[in-house]
Amino acid sequence: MTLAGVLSQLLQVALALALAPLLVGWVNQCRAWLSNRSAPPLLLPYRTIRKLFTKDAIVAEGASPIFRVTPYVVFGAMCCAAAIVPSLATDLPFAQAADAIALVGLFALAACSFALAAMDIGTAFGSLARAARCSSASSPSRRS
Amino acid sequence: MLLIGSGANIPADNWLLLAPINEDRSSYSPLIVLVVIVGVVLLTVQIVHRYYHGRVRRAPAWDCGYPLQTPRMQDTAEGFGQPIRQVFEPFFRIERELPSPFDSAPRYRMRVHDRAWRALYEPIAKAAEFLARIAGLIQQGRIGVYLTYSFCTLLALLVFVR
Repeated sequence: MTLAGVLSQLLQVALALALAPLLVGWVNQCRAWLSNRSAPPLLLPYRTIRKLFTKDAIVAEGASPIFRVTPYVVFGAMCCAAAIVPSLATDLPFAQAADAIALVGLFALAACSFALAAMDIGTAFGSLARAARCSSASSPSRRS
Repeated sequence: MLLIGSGANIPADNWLLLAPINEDRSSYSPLIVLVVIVGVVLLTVQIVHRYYHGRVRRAPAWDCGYPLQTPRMQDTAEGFGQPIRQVFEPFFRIERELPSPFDSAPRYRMRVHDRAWRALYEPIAKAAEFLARIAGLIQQGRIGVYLTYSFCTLLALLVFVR
């Protein structure tokens, strides 16, 4: 474990975190173009994050602590995934601690906690969102 | 090439690291991963608490503008499991009866058949039954017939041994 390795590790995670909203914006643009809509601005996710930091958080009545904890768990799992995958540097000290199977496990952890949070409130809409996000193989039109 | 390593080939000097084959190819350290995840989560909580004003409101869950909700509207096990079943639909033969959405006392019925069972195991079982039925033809249940079998076997053996 060298100092350069640790520095490149931190830099890589920071870069992944900084550029992640850009990817979301770009994917949303492509999705809009593919369905013949006019695309939202590329930097919209950044503005959304800034807006959400000034707004109040609204939590549904009856939401358990699982619902509050889930965003942090998903964020932590994604940060770990960004630290494992060699995108900026190959000499990553943390990459030795986990391989591709552990990466899949991290994504599964995020998906699992997301599904738990979706079912936590108890309304059907949360489960619908969970189904739309977690299993893209089933289109909503086939859910009769 | 060693595909499946000789047991857990853990280096003796590094008990943290789990390396099934070779440290260069794949290694896993559950403790480090756990520590990093927990550390990132705690750090994120700290940062969010520092920069976020922390106003949290409690409100009723979104009901799509339809406040009169009945238990009939909740997400069912069918709704939960159906996507997974649709993913694996090619492997199973599924018969299902779904009730009308306006049915107040709905009844679900579903039967799932294994395609591999019909395609693979049933022919083998039928062939075995067929062979058993042919073999059963020589079993007449009469002592005279069995004595004749023994006699024929003895004669055949004598012919071969001679």
